[in-house]
Amino acid sequence: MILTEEEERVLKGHRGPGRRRALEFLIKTGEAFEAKRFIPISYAHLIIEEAQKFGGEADIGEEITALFTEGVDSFAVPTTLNPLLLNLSVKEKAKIPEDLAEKIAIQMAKPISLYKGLGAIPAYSCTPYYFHPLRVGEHVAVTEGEVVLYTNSVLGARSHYESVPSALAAAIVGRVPEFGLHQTKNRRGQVLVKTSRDLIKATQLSYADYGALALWVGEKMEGKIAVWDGLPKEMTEAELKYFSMAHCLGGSPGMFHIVGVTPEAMTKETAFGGRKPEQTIEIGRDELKEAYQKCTSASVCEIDTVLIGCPHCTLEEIKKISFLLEGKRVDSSVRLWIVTNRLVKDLASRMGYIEKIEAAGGAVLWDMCIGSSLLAHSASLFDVKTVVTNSTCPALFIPPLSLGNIGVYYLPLEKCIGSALTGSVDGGVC
Amino acid sequence: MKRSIKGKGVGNLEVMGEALKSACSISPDYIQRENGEYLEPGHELEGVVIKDKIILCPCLKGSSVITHKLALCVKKGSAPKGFIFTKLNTISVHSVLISKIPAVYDIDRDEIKNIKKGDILKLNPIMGDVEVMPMENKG
Repeated sequence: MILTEEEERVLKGHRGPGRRRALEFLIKTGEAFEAKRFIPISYAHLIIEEAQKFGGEADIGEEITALFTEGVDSFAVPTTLNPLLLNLSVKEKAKIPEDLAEKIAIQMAKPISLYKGLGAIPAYSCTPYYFHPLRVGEHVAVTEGEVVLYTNSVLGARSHYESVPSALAAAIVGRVPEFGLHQTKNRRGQVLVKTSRDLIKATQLSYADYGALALWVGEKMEGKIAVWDGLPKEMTEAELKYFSMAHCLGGSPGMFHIVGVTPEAMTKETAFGGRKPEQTIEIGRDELKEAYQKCTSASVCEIDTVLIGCPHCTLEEIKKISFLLEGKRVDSSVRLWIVTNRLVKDLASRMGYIEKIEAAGGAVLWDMCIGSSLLAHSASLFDVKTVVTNSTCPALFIPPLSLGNIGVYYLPLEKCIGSALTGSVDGGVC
Repeated sequence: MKRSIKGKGVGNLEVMGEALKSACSISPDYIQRENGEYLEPGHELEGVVIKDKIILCPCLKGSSVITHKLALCVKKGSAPKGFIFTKLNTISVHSVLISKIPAVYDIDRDEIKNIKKGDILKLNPIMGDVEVMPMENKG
């Protein structure tokens, strides 16, 4: 790679050891992809692994943070943060055991202080675009799979599929190697995905349906960019959010196009950059069912936990949940967690939605990561055995993270809430 | 018969191990960190212990924290020894850099096809070389 004078100074260590290591890491990445130079970024979004996970992964996170931040006094660009393991202000509401909450508080204190000291914006959300809006074409470095997909596909900004360390390195040096999705030529669609008419016209697709469709297709992409043709033009923010999450889990390269919906796909021809698709895939009810089966690992009727909000709920979702719960009561054996970001939480509170949800026995939480972090790693402490969710992330990751101790049902939102009310999956239909 | 294949590499360590092939990308999200069993439902390697193997697959996939998960598997002694990727993506490169597991990529597809499960492979990521000792030649 050809370096500027300033980059050479950083590489020689004149700006401290942390910046040097960060730049070296990015240079090795750039060289693997034959990048010729760095380009500046305007924003970064980070995961603090040591404030979002327990145990070994947190230890690794601490090591990497120390490696890249040694001698660094501030991030080079506005930088937001992903959710925490636990928002301590909601520990009673979430019924977190006191000793566990204390242990988490101790674990999170040092990294939170360090990152805030570097100037990080404590958004604590996996929907950071609420806190730092982006423009089409803007070069950024974001991590958290759903954020990468949403940033590139829905917002039209440009980011590599950054990992936790690479996003941190980019935030510190304010640049990324120029290759991949930062270049227009690499953002063209490659695979046409056609949705069958019976799937779209006969059914109002649920958030879980969108997640299932995206998961199934994402797994077939093997690094190629999908162009979806046939999805409703009126897809909402929440639907795009669940879609983005599942697409990344399936193995997407970092973006997709939806014709008529996403900004670089106003037409099919634009999405493909004037080229023909390399491949065409059709997806219908059978594929949807297959994806639902992949996300389902539980087999018993009784459930103890319902998780909604991965990624963080939109106002639209919280409104729907409040309507579904109004005048009803969550079964006393069920923990219903609805997680969002604090901006949505404040609005939902003003509009009376949170009051309705909590009157029914649900808990609205914010600033934290549900399921795949807290519950999965502490199943025995919470006595969690069977979870119901409408999100692909906890559905896929809770079982292996809990070493098989937790089973998950993957259901549409209405059935998730129905399960919370009865204490049995899908109202008792197993 | 032993043969050498040329590609490009990421990492510094030379390693030797038994080849294990997968047509699908693998995700460190699904590696059981205590024993190296691959847990992804429906995957061709589901239930297979991938610890100490040299994995030939398209690339790594999954969440943006697979760097940490792979590094944790290394600490626990349950990680593969090396990778041969037929495609390259950012999270694969980041994961092998952080976990210090060597990887070779950009190898001729016919050469990849000729490597069989159980062949002994020696990876030199600095040179981008792969030495293949077919299974039938094993002592």
